[in-house]
Formats: sequence, structure tokens, C-alpha cells
Amino acid sequence: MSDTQAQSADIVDIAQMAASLKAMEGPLGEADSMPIEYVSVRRMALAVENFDPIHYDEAAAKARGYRGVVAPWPLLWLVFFNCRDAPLQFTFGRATIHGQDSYEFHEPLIVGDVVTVSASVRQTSVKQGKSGAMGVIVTRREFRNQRGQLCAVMSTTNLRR
Amino acid sequence: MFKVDTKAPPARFFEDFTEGQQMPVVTKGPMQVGHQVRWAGACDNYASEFHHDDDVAKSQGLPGVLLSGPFMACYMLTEVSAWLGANARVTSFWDRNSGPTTPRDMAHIHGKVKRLWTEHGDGFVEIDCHIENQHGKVTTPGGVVARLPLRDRSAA
Repeated sequence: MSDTQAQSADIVDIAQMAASLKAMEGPLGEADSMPIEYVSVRRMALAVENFDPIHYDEAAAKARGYRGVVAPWPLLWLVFFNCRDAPLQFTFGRATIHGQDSYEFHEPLIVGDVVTVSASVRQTSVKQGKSGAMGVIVTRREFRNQRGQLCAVMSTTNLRR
Repeated sequence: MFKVDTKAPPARFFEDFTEGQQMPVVTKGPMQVGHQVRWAGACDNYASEFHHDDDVAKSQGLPGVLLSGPFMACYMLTEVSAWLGANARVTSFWDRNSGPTTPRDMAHIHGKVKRLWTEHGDGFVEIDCHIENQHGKVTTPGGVVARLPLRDRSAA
């Protein structure tokens, strides 16, 4: 294959990648819900070595102005992995790399709440890396409690190559 | 159920922080596969074999078992939040998985006040933070923004 042919093939591949990624944009499965349970909160607090009593003791949490035992924010990952009926499906590449995350925190998640998460692919692009072209996919998840209050927004950036 | 020895973070106010102020470095480690297993259990996530099986990790071209990027980031979020104190409400956080953390690595968590400002009667603080391993490599850069009460609300 000549250099010109190889360049043309690359351009086609990149265009195909971009089109494939663009088709992924939009809602990602149905919204899903799960309860916030005391043992899950305690287990997560222990895993990240967070010993603040608001994550273990209702009286301590109420004394600090919360409705009840507070979930540490990393508990969003428990919800993430339990409410994920529609994982990202790619038509190209062999590996997906977890690049970065950003979070907004709003209303605290409290033991006894039921949290509903809705996910969507918000942004896609193709980037030239050292080892060739790779897809960049930003997925946004909104977490709301049973009162409809926004608790958190998590944006996850994955790289596909 | 065993009793956990809890400790509330100190109550701090906006005025307790200055731009450029460094958080005392918090060191975690040596990291172990057990840390990762505990995180996987807390997340109900056992899908990625390379997070707990060395042979699988190596067959995928990795140096060995990798500790989860979000786990390390959440360690950092936890420690920065504790430093900001019991009055702080963290409003945003970001992190990037820049380098791997493997078993027996150390994780030194750093933080520094980047910016302080007031808005609608509250104080806000932005923290630049990162995790450095025992070789001085930054594995997890990140940032935190938190709301803090003012000791003297009339100053806002």
C-alpha cells in the first residue's frame, strides 16, 4: 500500500470511528433505581477509610444537620455498577481505558433514600494518540433521590482504541 | 457487627484557609490487593479480572494487578474532604487516571489551596490535589471545590 493509500485508509477509519461514536450519543438505557442501605454505606466508608461518624451513626449525622446516616460520595460507584443495564458497546477497537471522572455534588444521599440514575453519552470525538486514533466518550449520569432532588452528576471519560 | 472507631473531622471555617496553603501529606500504603478487593466489594464490581488476578493482568499487557483509578481518586477525595473539615460541603471533584497503582506501591496524597472566594454569604475553596507514588510520579491529579461557612458572615 502506498503512503497516499495508507493515509486515505486512515481517514476512512477515522471517519468511520467518528460516525460510530456519534451514533452512540444520547440516552444510555432506561433510568434505574436502587435503595441506599446502611450496610452498603458502612462498607464503602470502610473501603475508603472514611471514619467520619456521619457515615456510621444516625445521631451523629442528625447533629450535623443531615436527615440520617450520610453515604460517602464514593457510594455513587455502587449505584453505577448496579444500575448499568446498557454498558457502552463499541464497533471498533479492542480496549477501553477509563480516563477521568468529574463529579458535581448536590443533595446528600441518605440511608433509606431510593436513588434513580439516568445515563447518557454526552460527547464523543476522535483523538490522535501516540499509538494511533482513539475514540473519546463522555458519559454523564444524573443521580436523583425519591424526592426528585438532584444528588450528584458524574461524568466519566473513556478512551477506546 | 464490629464497632468502628469513628472520628469527626475538626470544624473549620473559610477564614482558616489561605491561598497557597498546603494540606499535610497523607500517606496510604503499601497498597495491597486486599484494598482493591475491599473496593470491589463496596462497589459490587467484580467484572474486571485484571483488578484482582495477576495472570490475567499480565496476559493483557499490564504490569500486574492494577488498583482501580476511581478507588485511588476516592481516597484522595476522602482525605481532602477531611482536611477541609466537618463544616465543608464538597460541591465538585475531578480526577484523571494518569498512571497505574499496583500492589506494594505507596500513595502520597497532596493538596494545596488554589483559590478562595466568597459568594452569597458563603466561602468557597478550590484545592489542587494529586497522588504521588514512591517514585515521585503523579498517578492521580485532581481538584476539589467546597463550600465553607464564614466565621464572620458580615465579611461576605
